Amino acid sequence: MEENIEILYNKEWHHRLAVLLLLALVLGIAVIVAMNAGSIQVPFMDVFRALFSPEGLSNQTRMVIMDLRIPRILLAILTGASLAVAGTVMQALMRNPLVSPFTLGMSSAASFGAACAIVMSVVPLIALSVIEFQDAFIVLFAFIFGIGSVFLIYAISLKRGSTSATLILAGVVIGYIFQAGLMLLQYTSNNEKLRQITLWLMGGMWGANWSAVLLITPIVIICIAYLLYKAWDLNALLAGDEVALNAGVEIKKVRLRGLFFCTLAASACLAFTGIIGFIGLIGPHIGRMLIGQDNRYLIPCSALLGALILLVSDTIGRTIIEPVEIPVGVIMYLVGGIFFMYLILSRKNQIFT
Amino acid sequence: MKLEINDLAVAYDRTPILNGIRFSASSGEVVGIIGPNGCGKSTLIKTIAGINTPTTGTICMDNLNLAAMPKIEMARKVGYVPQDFQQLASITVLDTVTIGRRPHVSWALTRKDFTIINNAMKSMSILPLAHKRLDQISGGERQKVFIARALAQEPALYLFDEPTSALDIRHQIGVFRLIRDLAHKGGAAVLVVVHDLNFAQYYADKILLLKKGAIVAQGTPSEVMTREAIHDVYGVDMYSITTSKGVYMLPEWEAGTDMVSV
Repeated sequence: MEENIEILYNKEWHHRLAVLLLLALVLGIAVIVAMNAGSIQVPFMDVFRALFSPEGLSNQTRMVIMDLRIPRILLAILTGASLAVAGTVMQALMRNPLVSPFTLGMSSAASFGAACAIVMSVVPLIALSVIEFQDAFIVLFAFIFGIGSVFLIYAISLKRGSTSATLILAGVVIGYIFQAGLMLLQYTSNNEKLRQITLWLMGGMWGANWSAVLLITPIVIICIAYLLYKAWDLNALLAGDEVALNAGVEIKKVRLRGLFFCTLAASACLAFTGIIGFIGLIGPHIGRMLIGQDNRYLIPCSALLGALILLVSDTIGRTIIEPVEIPVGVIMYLVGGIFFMYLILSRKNQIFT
Repeated sequence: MKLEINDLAVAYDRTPILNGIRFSASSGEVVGIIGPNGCGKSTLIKTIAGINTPTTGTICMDNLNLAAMPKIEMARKVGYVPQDFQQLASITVLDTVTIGRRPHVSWALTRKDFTIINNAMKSMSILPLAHKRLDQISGGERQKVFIARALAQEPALYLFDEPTSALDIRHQIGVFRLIRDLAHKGGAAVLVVVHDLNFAQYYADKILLLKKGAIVAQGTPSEVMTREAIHDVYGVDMYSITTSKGVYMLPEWEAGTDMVSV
């Protein structure tokens, strides 16, 4: 009996490690396939050559791989990982399986912020840097509004007598309020702006370029690393606030900072990709089914899953009826939704509330 | 280790709950806290656990003020078992007990941690439930899980808030024997809120009798739990019956004042 728990725990550990390695492997394969596939097929050998010894390749191949596909792949990975981790951590912080960057009204708020930035760019800007400047503007506005809405929800959750239901309802209502603003902006803006806003709302990896990737990579890495570092605190929160407090968790600090880093990572990515739903809500649940509740493993697992789901969906979206691109959401909601239904129906004892 | 509580007062939204609380507890001692519903027993336990903030007064462990102590350090010294655990995510029994090790580990668990977790689960006989989720087990089993979690924390001071409210008689006795062992053999100090006066007088070394947010009597069970004091606080007449197996307290079924209005 003595080493019972340790054996059990180690067995679990091996299982978790295997899941993580397998996901990483599949993600690696997905990356290679994504580099190879597209309206211009690049042979696998050329993909590797473009990466490691680009001499002797045509400029076109090099450009397709290095300037189009790799930034797009990286953006998909970063966005998928951030959204899934943000969802995982928000669900743990609020102790509510329905919480995600979207159910809390953050997406509507961020959309409104982005739309504001798009509409406001009529203000004459320094000619040369217009595009980068507007990008940065959208990022900033999406972030400010996104985080504002999350902290509004947090303030509501602190009120006495507020339950999970209050939280979700407040999130939905806040969503509607920003929707109202968004509709007004859409209704009053001209064709070009309207197109831009609509594209943003639809979401996609169209905005991928190296400057976007370079901007969000450090943000995403820092945010995920911080949240992972707080994994034990998140675990303790699952057993209730009182127990977490007794286990030495500074609850308020962890909640506030956790929400801040979640929102920062999610909105930084969303600013370039537009609205990407599903992953933030469902990614964590798939992760829990595969690896359990322990956030030390769940956070990396969610990150890999989110990256994988988004990358695969985007690759399918841009290759399935070439040369037309289908918005990534169409594929993801369809394929991801069916996969999720399968997981729910096929498991008798899934970890899912 | 000595816990000293001085002039403690607590209020919720300006309504005073506790006033002028002053007592001490030492290693090796089981302190039973008794009193009618709403007299502030749970509030007292939660305030010592750092969940409620006192309006005045100090809580010191070996002359160190708990309020000024870093949370993680306090977590190594004080273990708390809540009375109700409603808002729960679908976390497993093993993961819950493991949370008790959180103040002691930075990332990975060592062999020592596993041994402690194993022993804690064994003493609550919940090893077979390790992989069950908290929402798949009974209320009594859940209570045992949260006791095991506090045991895994290995604190010097245990705070139990009605630890046996969901347990059958066999497990009630089991938990109280464990509580006594934690103090008498393990050298911990234990504060336990008890409703059953028989358990209180048999297992506690010292009793705090609370009424309307104040301690009206403290001392050994025989000093505090007199017929008069019990009548004064609960409004019920109790009889002590002494047998060769111990002292039993029984209510006088039909006498006494109207209970509801007390």
